[in-house]
Amino acid sequence: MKFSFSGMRISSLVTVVPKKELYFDDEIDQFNFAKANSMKLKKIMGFNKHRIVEDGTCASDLCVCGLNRLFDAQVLRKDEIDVLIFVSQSPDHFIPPTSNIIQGKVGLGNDVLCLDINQGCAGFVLGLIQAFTFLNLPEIHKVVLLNGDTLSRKVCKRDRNIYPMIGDAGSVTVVEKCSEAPSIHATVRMDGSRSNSLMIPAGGFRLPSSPETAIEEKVGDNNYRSKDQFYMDGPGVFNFVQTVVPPMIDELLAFAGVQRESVIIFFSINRTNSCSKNWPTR
Amino acid sequence: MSGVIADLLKTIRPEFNFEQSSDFIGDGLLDSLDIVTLVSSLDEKYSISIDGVEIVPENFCSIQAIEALLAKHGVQP
Repeated sequence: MKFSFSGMRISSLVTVVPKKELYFDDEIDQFNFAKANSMKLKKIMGFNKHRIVEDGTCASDLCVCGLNRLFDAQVLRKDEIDVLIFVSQSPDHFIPPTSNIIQGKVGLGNDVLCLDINQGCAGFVLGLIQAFTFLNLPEIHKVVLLNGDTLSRKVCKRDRNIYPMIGDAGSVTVVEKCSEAPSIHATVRMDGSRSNSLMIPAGGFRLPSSPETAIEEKVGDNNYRSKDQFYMDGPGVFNFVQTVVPPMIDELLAFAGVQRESVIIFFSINRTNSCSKNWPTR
Repeated sequence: MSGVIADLLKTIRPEFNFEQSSDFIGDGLLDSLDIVTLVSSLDEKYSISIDGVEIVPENFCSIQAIEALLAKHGVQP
């Protein structure tokens, strides 16, 4: 689906990361691979360090920290927030929604609309689209979008396919009406048929957590993980990115009436080198 | 060339017997990180530059497929 918005902008953005830094070199021995093999992978992938929360720290804590920073700096006032959106796959609880918990913690008014969205990699874009959609309502002038995840707590430390890439963070994005702002274009597609490509199999109502689902087992690819932990079908996701995403970029550029050559920066999640003028296109 | 490829695969995944598989990806012998490692090794070995759009499962599912990819880059058997 294609979207086009006008008269709104991102006015503030703050990102919060935990203090604790862990280095790939210190983690190599916990992976079930030869050290030389992991070192080669480090060089290719650019693995170095990642920021990991202490046990007990939730995504909401990082977002609350960011919100308070904006309040303290007087960049944002509590009484001007109309909508609070929390996008995460690391909620505090099943019930209540984490956005409500955050509302209570920071002392927002009862007329603030709170909404949780369960999204990961696409969460920032989807959260923005939701924020823009709210801003199309005449009563809504300012939306605060919170994105946060602490997935390190749900990844096996012996899973070399995932653990080195996982870092914890939270962000606060203030989105507001602005009549002078240029148009914003987006294109979004969903593919639920591949929903098991990124999954934590156990812990929900389909497969509740149990002592059995907590057992970390050696899986076919030489890594370890339990059913309570995050799983990614690496080849499937990789193939998806290589084949599905490039045409979508061309589609978006055509929709926006923008020539690829005129784009200054292509920013990609999960890439350390985010700047590319020669984005792969099939 | 197939011997070189087999050696590289063995270096990346010494625990698997690639000769017994006709679909390295489908059989779980190579994952995405292995493919990236293999691409880097092939680039180094043959002084080529395999493009991102070529890093798809069908180009790495067998030794024959990898040979065909290398042939596109002018690597002779």
